[in-house]
Amino acid sequence: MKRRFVFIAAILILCVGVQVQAAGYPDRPIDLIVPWGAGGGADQLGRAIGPALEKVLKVSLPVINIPGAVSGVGLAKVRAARKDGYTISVFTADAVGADSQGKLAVHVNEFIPLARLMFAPSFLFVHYDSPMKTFEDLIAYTKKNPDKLKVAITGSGSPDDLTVKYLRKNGIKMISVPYPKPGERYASVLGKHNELLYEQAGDVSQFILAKKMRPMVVFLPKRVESMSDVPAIQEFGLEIYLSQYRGLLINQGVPQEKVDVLAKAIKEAYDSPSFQKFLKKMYCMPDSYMPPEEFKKFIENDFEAYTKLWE
Amino acid sequence: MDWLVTVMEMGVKIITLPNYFVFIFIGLFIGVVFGAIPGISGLMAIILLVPFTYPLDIIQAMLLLTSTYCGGVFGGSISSILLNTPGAPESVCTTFDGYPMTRKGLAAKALGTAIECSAIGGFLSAVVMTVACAPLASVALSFDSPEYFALVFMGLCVVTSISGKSLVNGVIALFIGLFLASVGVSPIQGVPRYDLGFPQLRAGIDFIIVMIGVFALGEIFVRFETLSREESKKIEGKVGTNLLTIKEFLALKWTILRSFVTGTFIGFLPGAGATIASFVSYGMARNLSDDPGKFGTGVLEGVAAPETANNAATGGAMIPLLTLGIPGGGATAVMISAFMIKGLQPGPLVFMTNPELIGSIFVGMIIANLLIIIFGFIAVRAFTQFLKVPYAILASGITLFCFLGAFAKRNVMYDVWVMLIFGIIGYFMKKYEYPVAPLVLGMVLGPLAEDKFLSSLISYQNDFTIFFTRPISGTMIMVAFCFLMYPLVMMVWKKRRSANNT
Repeated sequence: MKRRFVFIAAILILCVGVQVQAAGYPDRPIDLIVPWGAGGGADQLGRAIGPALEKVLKVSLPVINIPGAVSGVGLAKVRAARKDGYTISVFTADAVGADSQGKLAVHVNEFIPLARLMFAPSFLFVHYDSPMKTFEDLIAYTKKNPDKLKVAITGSGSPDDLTVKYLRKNGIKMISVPYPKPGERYASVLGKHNELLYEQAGDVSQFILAKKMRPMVVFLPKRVESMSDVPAIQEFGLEIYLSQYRGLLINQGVPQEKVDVLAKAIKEAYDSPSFQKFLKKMYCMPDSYMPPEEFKKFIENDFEAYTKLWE
Repeated sequence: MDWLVTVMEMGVKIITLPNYFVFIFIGLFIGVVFGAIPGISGLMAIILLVPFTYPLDIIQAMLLLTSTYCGGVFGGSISSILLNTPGAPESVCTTFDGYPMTRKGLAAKALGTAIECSAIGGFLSAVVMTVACAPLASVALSFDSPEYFALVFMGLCVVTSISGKSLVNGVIALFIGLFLASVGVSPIQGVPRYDLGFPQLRAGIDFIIVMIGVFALGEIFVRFETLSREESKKIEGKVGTNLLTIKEFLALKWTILRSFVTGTFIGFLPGAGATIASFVSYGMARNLSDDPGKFGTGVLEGVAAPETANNAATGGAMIPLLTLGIPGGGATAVMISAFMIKGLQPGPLVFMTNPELIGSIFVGMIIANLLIIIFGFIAVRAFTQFLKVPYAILASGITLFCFLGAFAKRNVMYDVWVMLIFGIIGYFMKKYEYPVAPLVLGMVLGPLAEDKFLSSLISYQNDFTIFFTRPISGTMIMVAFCFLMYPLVMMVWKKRRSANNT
């Protein structure tokens, strides 16, 4: 009788133990995967949100860079990870673009979006010493010398690639050269191996300020307030606005309670002064944040827009 | 000139202020210890240290991280020499001659050489970096994809120097490495390859995991087989360190100088790093030696060359990071995050506006490399005690760290299984005299080679001649062919000579 009692008690204690463990999520470090190389925008987001989340969740979030294949390599790692909520990943619009053409190693809908954290328009930059100063110069040059200019982009199937293809269709013929690591992408322009760079302003703000690169055009219907001297692409009768957005996601199959814990913590981290300062520095739109459900719909819409563009 | 004055001022400040100086000590200590433990690397130490830099000021944080980096690269040589288990790919070359020296009872000499050469290589490259960082940065920028490919190709051609007894077996191992590197999603087009439908394989095979398996675990399996026949308690040589005599040092001076230049030069190119530097230096030392056949049996040059080069690469790697904001490898990428936590983005702007910071990083590295001599002695004294432990017990400890290191990479058991499988593969490779180093070389350089080759072709309209017509790239390809042809030429020459003698 006594033994049975001890046995039941032990089971009860075990149950309590298990419950406490579930409630205690997260109780160990969470891997924060950045599916791009160090130094670029996705990486900077990881490095900014990591410490901010750490303050909320009270566990550390080591950043792990896994670059390659328009973030496909890193996302494949997330997909292969355990569904215990201890692996989250930065996610960029590039993955949606690649997935819409079946060029991503995984599918975007195999993940649960946690939040959109950054929303930033894209620019075309030129090396500061280049004889071409404005977008008009560029149009004139490519008319005379098609396929002579090279644009450094992230990878084939990315919004970068799509935009360059769109420009090509409209008579601005350039070659795009993929560099999965942002550092190498910037170095290729700084070293004048490629004349142009497709990028968001925040990622290269130091090169703009140091007079190494010059913004030519912003891919938006209207000019950006903080950079009002840079013309919008619509002014040239062209309509392509593939803005970059970045957020966080987690593998499908992670229990909903854990997803909720993370989503709540991420919102709190987003509102923290340090992260807000970061957003400003990166030239992001003030309404960058989107909660999981809304972000999911946003991605679905974006996916459709891409599919249409490719046709 | 202003710049050098700033550097000097910062140097005096750092040496005289204990609250700065102490971080160099802490960093070196942690770096050497992590570097020396098999299965765990100096890079892991840097990653783990970043959260501890939050309360520090940026100079303290960078002193801590850069000295951990320098210490880690040196520390790797200890386990390479004593246990034949490199902690990081850049220490792989040190095993070729370092471990045979240990087996011959010359561990003390090998470690002494490693300490001195690491310190000299690191110190000189830190000095060069201080004086000439801006011009060197522009040299780094002049490299486009074809040059990178040529460099990686040169690294691959070193296979002829590291194959041991059979060149054919070495090349086979290299190609297996290249094949394993191609598993997973391709870097440019994003196509999954050889994944057999498993998402785990789609993510690729991690070369660190493979390295831990084939080197550390494979070595243990091989030793276990012969353990009963070995005199288990016999200590392999005098425990401690034995510095080079002046005569030995003078004999090595050209090897050291050459490796230092190679290391600094290859180190400062973003994306290339210490691994290629150490392999290429080893290859050069062997090919230019009077008696290449002795390499691999435990010669001083074979330890001096890679150890000088991989530490020289630490200084080189800081150049693109600090002047351009572009990380050259894992360690420098982590350092960027330490900068960003302080709201700074390393690059041309910080370099112009904050010379004190940059100057103190340089000075910190110069001091750290000098201190390697002291720390090296202490660490070596501690780690050589392990040789007194019977190998059976020591091996179980190493195995534990192998499992720990493999698991810690991503916290998945899958990686541990991969490591075990490669441990068994490593055992059979060693047994049938297939060298394991080319396999690791192929795995490290394979993805880089593919990436650079394809982007060169995209960039230059599929023009294959581009690798030969661009001057820097063409020169490196030529050096690479020299690496390839050298053993053949030697073989023919030797045959002819022996034919003449008879």
